[in-house]
Amino acid sequence: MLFNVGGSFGAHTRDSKRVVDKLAETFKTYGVKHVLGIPGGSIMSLYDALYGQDIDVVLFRHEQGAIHAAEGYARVAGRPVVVAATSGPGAANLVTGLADAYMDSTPLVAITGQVATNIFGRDGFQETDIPGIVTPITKFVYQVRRPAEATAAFKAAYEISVLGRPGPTLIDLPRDIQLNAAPDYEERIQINKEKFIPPPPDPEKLRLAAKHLVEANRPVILVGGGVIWSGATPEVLELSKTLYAPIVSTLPGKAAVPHDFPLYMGPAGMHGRAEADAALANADVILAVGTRFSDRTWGRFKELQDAVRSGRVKLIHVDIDQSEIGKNVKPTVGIVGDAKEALRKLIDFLDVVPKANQKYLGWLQEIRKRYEEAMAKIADSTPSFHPWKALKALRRAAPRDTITVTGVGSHQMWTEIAWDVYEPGTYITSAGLGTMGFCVPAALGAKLAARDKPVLCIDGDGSFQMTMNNLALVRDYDLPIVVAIFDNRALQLVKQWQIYLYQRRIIATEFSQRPDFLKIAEAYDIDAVKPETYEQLESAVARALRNNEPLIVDLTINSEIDIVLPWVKPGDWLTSAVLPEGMDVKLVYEEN
Amino acid sequence: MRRISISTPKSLDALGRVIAITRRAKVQLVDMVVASEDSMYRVHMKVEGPHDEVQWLVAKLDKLPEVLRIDEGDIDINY
Ligand SMILES: Cc1ncc(C[n+]2csc(CCOP(=O)(O)OP(=O)(O)O)c2C)c(N)n1
Ligand SMILES: [Mg+2]
Repeated sequence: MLFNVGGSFGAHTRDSKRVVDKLAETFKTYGVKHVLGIPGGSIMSLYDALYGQDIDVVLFRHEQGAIHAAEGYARVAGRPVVVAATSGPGAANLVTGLADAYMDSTPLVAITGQVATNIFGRDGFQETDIPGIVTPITKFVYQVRRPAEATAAFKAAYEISVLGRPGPTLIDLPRDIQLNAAPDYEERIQINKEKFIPPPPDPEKLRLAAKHLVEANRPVILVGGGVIWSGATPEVLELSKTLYAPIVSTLPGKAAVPHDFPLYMGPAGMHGRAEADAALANADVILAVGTRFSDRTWGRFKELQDAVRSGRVKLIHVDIDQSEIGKNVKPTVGIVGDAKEALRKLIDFLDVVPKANQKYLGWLQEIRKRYEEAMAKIADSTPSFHPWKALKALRRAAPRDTITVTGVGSHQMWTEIAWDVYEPGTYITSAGLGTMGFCVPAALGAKLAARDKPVLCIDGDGSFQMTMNNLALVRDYDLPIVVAIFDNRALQLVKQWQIYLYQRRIIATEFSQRPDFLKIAEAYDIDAVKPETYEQLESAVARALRNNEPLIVDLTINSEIDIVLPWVKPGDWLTSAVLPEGMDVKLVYEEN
Repeated sequence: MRRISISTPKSLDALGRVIAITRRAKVQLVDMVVASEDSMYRVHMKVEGPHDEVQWLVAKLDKLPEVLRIDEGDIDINY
């Protein structure tokens, strides 16, 4: 053996390849162009193998930053990137990002260092059972125990992360294994990958689904994030036009539909749009595609379950993941398959051309109009910036293909309601896990994947402070992103709940004026503005995005006016959404 | 009561993943036997609970790449 197991850190000797050298070669054959992360004792050899290679190593300031960046990267590039972290604290810092990627079905491959195999279980320095920790939040995790498994494990992790419903994977690599001489054979990893290849959708079920859809009076198409991964946007739009069916989305599904498509109602749910809540709640046939029936979209399931059970509502659920069919709501017709393929075939089965229910569609449009009017009135009478109106100014400033990323909180909910997405995949948010701190690093990852595209991070002051340390990468790697901080000096979304659900007992949700975000920007060598008018906001952001310059916008928002509506309170049904003042509409449709 | 039978590679990591999912199911794990066979573990479970919850468990287990085979059925003498 070339290297002393467990002891030596083994500088590279040129005469033989180490396991890590073989791994670096494998990265290249898999098209991995970047490795994101922070090195440390247990992963140094892997980093060493990347020295002088045609793979860019991107050094973050926190491993959480690296893993959220990998999420942003994957959602833009459509393929995974590698995150490499050391054992113990480095690996543990990946946990939030892995959970986030798991919930939002984002592919990425994490590689963690591990203590040497001969000291396993001895609580050696920086030993953590990372496979044990991430077991429930990864699509695949593998601890390499023999040198010949290393490249095979990476290949499996990479392939599994993208096959079928995407997700994060992790390979744990003990230090001695990394330094071992690379064997000239590869040990097979015993797994069943084929199960992730979606079956062809059942034609009989599609025929039945088509029948329900053409007979519908008030059909609706509910679009989830699966539509983006599948590239099924054209099929969704065609179905909507053919059936005169309004489209409603989940929060991740928002990025699947161009918002200027006339039949798109917006996202439904806790902070969805009122016309979208109405379209879902009043539908008689629901075609749900690539969505996992989250309580955030539905408020609660009882009404839907009862309606489907009694036959009043026909629910058609198309999903690539068999385990999602019937998990929360049992559908009338459940179809396992790839969304694009299933919808294409479904379109072929639509033999009758249905008539548009103009009265109903007009009613939904009227709800939209009434909301916009009510919000314009509220925003115009607000002396300071209003988030709703600030988003309109930002939208005017940002080119259509701008990739927009958000933090988590009220500002995110405002974007859910009021940010128009024009090109599929250009809205990236932490939906399932709701991870504060997502925005800055995910925006950096998005920019890394698409340097030619403008990238705008719409963040909250609380979320921003969780990962702003990664701003150093803006200059280090020339990643000019624009960050607009909705600076209400509060953890506003929680504060809103305290106001309405806890009798205004405000605790631990208000910040001091520290830090000064302009000084933070200066520290990272980034220009910053604190606009005083919507015009200043729009022109500063437009200029930065046009010139591909980084910018930090400190947008002062008065916490007292920052109440996001509509709001379906937790556990309520969609039609009980709290609407803004001056919007006197019922969300229950009356035929006559 | 239903039977769930699983084949995994002979690895405690794989077994740990199977258990991690099973503990989140809204079913009662009445019995569980792990038998070793060549390079495999055969896991046999007896679970008690509503049909939908048993299906939830089977579907979730079947998402693990390490679950090489899974089948579910009545309790039979082959258990
Ligand atoms: C890591 C993490 N911690 C706590 C929460 C709970 N939480 C949800 S929204 C929110 C407030 C976010 O504040 P900020 O980023 O300033 O956005 P705002 O709501 O003020 O727009 C908090 C604390 C969370 N989602 N994520
Ligand atoms: Mg805030």
